[in-house]
Amino acid sequence: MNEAIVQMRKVRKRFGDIQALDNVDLDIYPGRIIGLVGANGSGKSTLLRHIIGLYLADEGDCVTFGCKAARLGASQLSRIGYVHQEGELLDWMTVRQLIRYISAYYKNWNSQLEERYISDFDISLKARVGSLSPGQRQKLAILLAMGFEPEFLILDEPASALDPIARAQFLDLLLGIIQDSTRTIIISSHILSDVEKVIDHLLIMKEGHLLRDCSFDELREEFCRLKVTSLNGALPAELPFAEIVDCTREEGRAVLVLRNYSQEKLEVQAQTLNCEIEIETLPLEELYKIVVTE
Amino acid sequence: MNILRANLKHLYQCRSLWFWYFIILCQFPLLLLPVSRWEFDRFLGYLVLSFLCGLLTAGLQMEILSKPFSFCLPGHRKIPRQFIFRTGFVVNGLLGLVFLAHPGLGFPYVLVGAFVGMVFYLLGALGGFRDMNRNPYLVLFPLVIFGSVFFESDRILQQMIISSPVQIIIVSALISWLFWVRLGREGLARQYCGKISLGILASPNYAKIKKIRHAEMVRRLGKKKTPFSDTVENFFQRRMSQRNFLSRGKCAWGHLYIVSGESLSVLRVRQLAMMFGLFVIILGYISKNGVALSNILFILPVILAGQLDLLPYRGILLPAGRGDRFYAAVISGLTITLLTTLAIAVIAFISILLEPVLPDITLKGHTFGYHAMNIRYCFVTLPLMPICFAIATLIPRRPVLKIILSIGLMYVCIGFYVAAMIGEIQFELIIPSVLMISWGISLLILRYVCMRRCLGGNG
Repeated sequence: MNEAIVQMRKVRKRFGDIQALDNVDLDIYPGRIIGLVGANGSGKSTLLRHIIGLYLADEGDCVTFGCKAARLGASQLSRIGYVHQEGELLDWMTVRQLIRYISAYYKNWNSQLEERYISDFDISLKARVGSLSPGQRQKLAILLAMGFEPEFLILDEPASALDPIARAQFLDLLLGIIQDSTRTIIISSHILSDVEKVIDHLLIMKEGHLLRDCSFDELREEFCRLKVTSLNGALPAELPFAEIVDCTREEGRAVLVLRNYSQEKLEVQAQTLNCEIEIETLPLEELYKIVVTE
Repeated sequence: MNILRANLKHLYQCRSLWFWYFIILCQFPLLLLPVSRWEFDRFLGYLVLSFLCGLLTAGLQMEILSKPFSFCLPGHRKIPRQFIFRTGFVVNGLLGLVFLAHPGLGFPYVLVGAFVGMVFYLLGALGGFRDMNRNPYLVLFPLVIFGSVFFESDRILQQMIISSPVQIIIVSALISWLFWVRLGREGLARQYCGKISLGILASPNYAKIKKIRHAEMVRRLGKKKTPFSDTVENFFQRRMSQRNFLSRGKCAWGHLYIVSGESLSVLRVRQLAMMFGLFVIILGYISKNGVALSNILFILPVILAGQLDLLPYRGILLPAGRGDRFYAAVISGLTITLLTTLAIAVIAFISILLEPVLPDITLKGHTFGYHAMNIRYCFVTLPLMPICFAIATLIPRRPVLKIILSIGLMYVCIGFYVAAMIGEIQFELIIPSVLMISWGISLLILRYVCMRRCLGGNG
């Protein structure tokens, strides 16, 4: 496996009374598309800002591209694109001025890509950045972060202010970007249905702790929804399945969420119970709820 | 919750406002001084206090009215008016007592004094409902006080109060009634609801100030017919493009662009030149021991520097590390300090050229001669600005504290200036060490912020 581009070791960060990050250990390998999910205030943005050196850890180490985050220089930062959750932009400039200003820093700025985004996102170049709607600002922030085709892209709530059409466009764009297998992307979002379409790796955070750091397929294979329908009218009071996470029952029917299941074993058990089973994978939203409430 | 408690709760929550209450409290002894010293011939100073109280009380109502959906509150139309008038009655009833100190004037004159005070209080209230960015009161208020005292218009009003109390009460009551009607209008709450305005009470709210400043900037930039911002942009872009990618030079020019570009883009050179011209000429005529008041220009940049964050937009990710940001911030601070000092030196030089040309003015028996600025005080600006930059960069989210510290620094400079004037300190000897100390401290603070602090967000 390639060397990790981000290594966090026992990172702790506190803001006043709030423990924003607590003993976070993380390795991010190149080429991954990572979903970072968690409730508001769970430490997602704090974690991302540590990676790019905007925040400094109280304890522990954070190394990005082989360099301590606090000492990241122009050569490392020029490889990272970042969409800010709060959409901090230079409000007094026009869109054209801002794009020209940011692009001046990057040797590999792709003007064709810039033009494509401007036309796709329908951004007016003459408008003042400060007068843009939240959605337009977010589109502009995405353009600025992607315009130089960074090898490491950090998207902190990139679609939160976008309307459904713009969100679909953004997802298409993201799907286009991930065709390049060398690019690493972290996407933090509350819209889990969008995230699950693109990610291959998942980080789940809760109250500053990293609850899960696993491949998305691994998590999906860990849990399943099992629909059991009795063929003779009734189900036994005790269902013989191991590691039941959740169970809803009606007469002759049960819907279960199981952990660490084996399809073959389930089929054998169904035969002994004289019932019909249907196995479904769980959507990210449900997987997230299970992991967080455990 | 009654009206008084609701308002007091709001006031209590804005603790930084206590600074303003302290400032107003400080005015009491100054305004009532003539009474305490038994100088009965002029005692309308309390009207200034009435005005300030009106400004603050209405500002508070404005804060409450501008909250989203405040018009849904029960009694939303009546509460601001009731609160303003009730407070006005109490304040002016008390302040009117100064008339009791005047020999021969009895209790009825307290009533007259209270009515007149009410008019000034309500004028202040009118100002409290206005946007502070475009509030002419802020500029006119000191001028009106100065003019009134100089031309003794307060004596005229005082004489009118004593000679025609009934007529004064009728006129004051009529004006108060007009305000009563205006403040009770149907759409008052809806008019101010959700309005982003920088009222007098908004000063401690950093996020609000930032939002309003940007909205104002966008409005002003949008109104400009010939976009000066393009000239500014081209200047900086040209310099940036001449530097290598990822170099510190590019970073420094880019940084200077975002630190100063916003202000430079809306700079109105002609208006600014006129303003400073008038400033230097008028204050040049006001002097003490041959030293013109216009010398205050040398310490005024602290206000500019105290507002300028050398690390703006900390959350934007550019290919510039913390070390690059520090380097760029130092270069920006140094450039702005040198250019500002140069501009003031030019103004001082022009004032020297004007000195033999401008005639003496005789006003009410006093002769005022024009005095030029003392150009060697340019050396006061040089150590002053870096300290203010450092304060502004260290506490970017505490606007009131920044103002207090900047004003404190101005007083230190005035003390220094007075000491230099009376020959207590050797100006030329002390300046090099002051320069070294101030720049040294500023560099340490900037380095600490750039290298050790979190940037952006909660940082």
